[in-house]
Amino acid sequence: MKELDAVDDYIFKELFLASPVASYICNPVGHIIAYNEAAESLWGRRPELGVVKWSGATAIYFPDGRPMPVEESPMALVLGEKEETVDVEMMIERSDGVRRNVLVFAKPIRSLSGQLIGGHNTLVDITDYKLYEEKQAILSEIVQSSDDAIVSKNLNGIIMSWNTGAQRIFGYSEDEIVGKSIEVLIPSYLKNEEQTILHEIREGRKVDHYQTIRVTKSGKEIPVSLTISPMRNKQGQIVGASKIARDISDQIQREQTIQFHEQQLETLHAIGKVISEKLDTPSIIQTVIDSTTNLVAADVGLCFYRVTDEEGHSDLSVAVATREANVYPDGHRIHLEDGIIHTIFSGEDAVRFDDVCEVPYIRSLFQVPGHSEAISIRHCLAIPIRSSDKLLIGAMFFGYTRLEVFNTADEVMMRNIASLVAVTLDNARLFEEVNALNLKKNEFIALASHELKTPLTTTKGYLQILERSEIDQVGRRFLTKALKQLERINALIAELLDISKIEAGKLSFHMETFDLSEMILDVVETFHFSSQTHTIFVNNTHGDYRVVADRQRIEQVMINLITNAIKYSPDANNVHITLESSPSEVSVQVKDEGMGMSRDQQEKVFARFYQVEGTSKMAGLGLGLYLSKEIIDRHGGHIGVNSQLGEGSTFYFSIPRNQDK
Amino acid sequence: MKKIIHVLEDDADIGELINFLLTEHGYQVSIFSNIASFRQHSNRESPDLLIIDVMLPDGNGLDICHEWKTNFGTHHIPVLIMSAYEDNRHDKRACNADGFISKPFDIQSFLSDVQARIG
Repeated sequence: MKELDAVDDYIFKELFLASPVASYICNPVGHIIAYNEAAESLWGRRPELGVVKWSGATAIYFPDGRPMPVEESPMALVLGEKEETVDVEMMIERSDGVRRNVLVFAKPIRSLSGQLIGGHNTLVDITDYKLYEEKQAILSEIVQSSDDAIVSKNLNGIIMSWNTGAQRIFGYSEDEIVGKSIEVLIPSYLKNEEQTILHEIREGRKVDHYQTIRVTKSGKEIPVSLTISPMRNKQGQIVGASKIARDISDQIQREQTIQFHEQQLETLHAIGKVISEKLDTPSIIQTVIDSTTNLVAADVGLCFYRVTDEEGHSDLSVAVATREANVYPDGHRIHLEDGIIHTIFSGEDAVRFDDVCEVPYIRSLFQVPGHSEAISIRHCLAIPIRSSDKLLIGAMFFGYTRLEVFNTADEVMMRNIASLVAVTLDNARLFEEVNALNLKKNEFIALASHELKTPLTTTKGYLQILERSEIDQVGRRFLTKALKQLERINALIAELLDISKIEAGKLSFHMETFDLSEMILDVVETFHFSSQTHTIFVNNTHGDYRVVADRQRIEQVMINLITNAIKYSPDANNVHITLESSPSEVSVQVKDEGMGMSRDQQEKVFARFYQVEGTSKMAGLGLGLYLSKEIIDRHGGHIGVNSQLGEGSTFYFSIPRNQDK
Repeated sequence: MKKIIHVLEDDADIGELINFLLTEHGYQVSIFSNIASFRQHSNRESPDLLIIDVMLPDGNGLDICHEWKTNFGTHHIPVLIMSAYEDNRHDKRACNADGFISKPFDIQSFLSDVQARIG
């Protein structure tokens, strides 16, 4: 028996020492008398047997971190016979200062007679488990507190977990939905989507920021952004998917608002463009009212505006825009009394008529007598159009059938457009004034021609009759001079009138086909009669010089160039004209042997009223070359000069053979 | 038999000048200073040539030209338009005229213009 006991002792000792669970034994006083290797490695030290009491750890703590007095340690409680067994969680500090969470099982050891002979304690290290548990709790908390819906599902699409975010967004509680198919959230027309998503997940791919539509418990469709990732088990196999869904209704609404404002800006821009490009008021107003009506979502838009005719009578015109065609029959006249417009906008900027039935004169604007098809406008927004000097020059009326659309109508937008319309009308008024003035100017030009030339006509006639009669030599000499002066006055008047016409944009051309070389030879012949000082040579007249041009105007240019060549070469006696032709154009050079021009003078010579300095006795208005340039330019040709001081000048021009461009 | 020339010209001095020139050359000339008096007279006597100024106190000479040239009874009668305003030469109402005399005119070319039409 004793031997057996000895064997037993050995077995129990081995079991105690080799156990992977930290254990130690104390005597009744509390001194540690034995501990195993597991205890040693947990404590990180070897406590001296028979000296260290109750615990082999450097320090002990309650699970919440408060220091635990050694008298309250489980072993002390057991040995003090305060408790039979102690089974608690606590923390111990190792010799290296690291704390570990442990589960403690302390028990007394009694003799067969029941006398307390010691106590034993086992310590289970639960630190890793505790950390994992905490992490899980944190993760779970994150999932639960997220605003986004966080849902997991298996590969068959069955919902496995459901957070409060999901409940908030989709309306289902966790109990209701876990175990059901994810398809309850997918609108019927998007059922295929889930198959595609599951396919991606099975392939191990993530679906990121996928915008789609989901259905809530109440049946409402909401826009969501989904991020779906595959979930793997410890073996790395894909077992399901985690899905984060974000409700993007707000975001979508913001995007739509931005889009709407962009559209508004675009329309405003387009309106501005129409206003700056077109000059015909009715079509500008029509375009503006069409786009504005569309933009402010009105059913009918009316724009009344004042136009003044040539006689100065002003009248209210109207442009109508409707969202649906044929609301107003052709020729239907919408009329607004002048007085009423002033009554509506007395003092106020824009006026809202919540119920047009209460305001007969507004209601009648939108009614078509005997036309039952007309839409019934219930609400109206009226915007005045004021000129830059604050005069009421028109008004826009936007009619609505639906109250909610009317209530959200953008008044600021309308006011902005009204001021653009005001600018248009102001511009149109100015344009008409300018037109009227131009018309007057043209009348003046015609009248001036008549009035200035009438005395010239008679005087020239009288002088020519006198010329035929018998008069002495002195008389004849002065008669010839008088006729020459008369021609000069006539030429000056013609130049002045041409300038007026250019400014009024009325210099008109009458194109015909003629031979330029023949025309030049005719002109040169008349100079041979009148010029006693210079001989004019014409070179290279054989060739094809047919052009389509205004014969009289080109003749005017030739006369001008030859006159200048003679005038500015008083000490020379030759002028050379050279013609050239190419398939596309004909050109002429007029070369003199006169004083020539500096570079500076050459640059200015085609300017209006330019007179070469130091040539004041070379009378003229300084309009000849300006007119010549205008004529050649208008033919699509080119005119220029090459010259050097003291070495004469060569003026040249070329014009295209045909005027069709 | 003298050739008859009717002249519509509101300026008395130009009228006198033309009258002098044409009478001297053997034409029978009537000068009218406005459209109304011209119409009255032309009902009674048909001219061999008509010379019309454009700017008249009671209308536009180009309209008279157009009227005569599109009327079956008068379209064969030569019409010369006379104006100080060059642009009238290209007015479409003047396109049927037989000539355009630019004011101020040279008396010699004036006479040849007339003679070219009625000899």
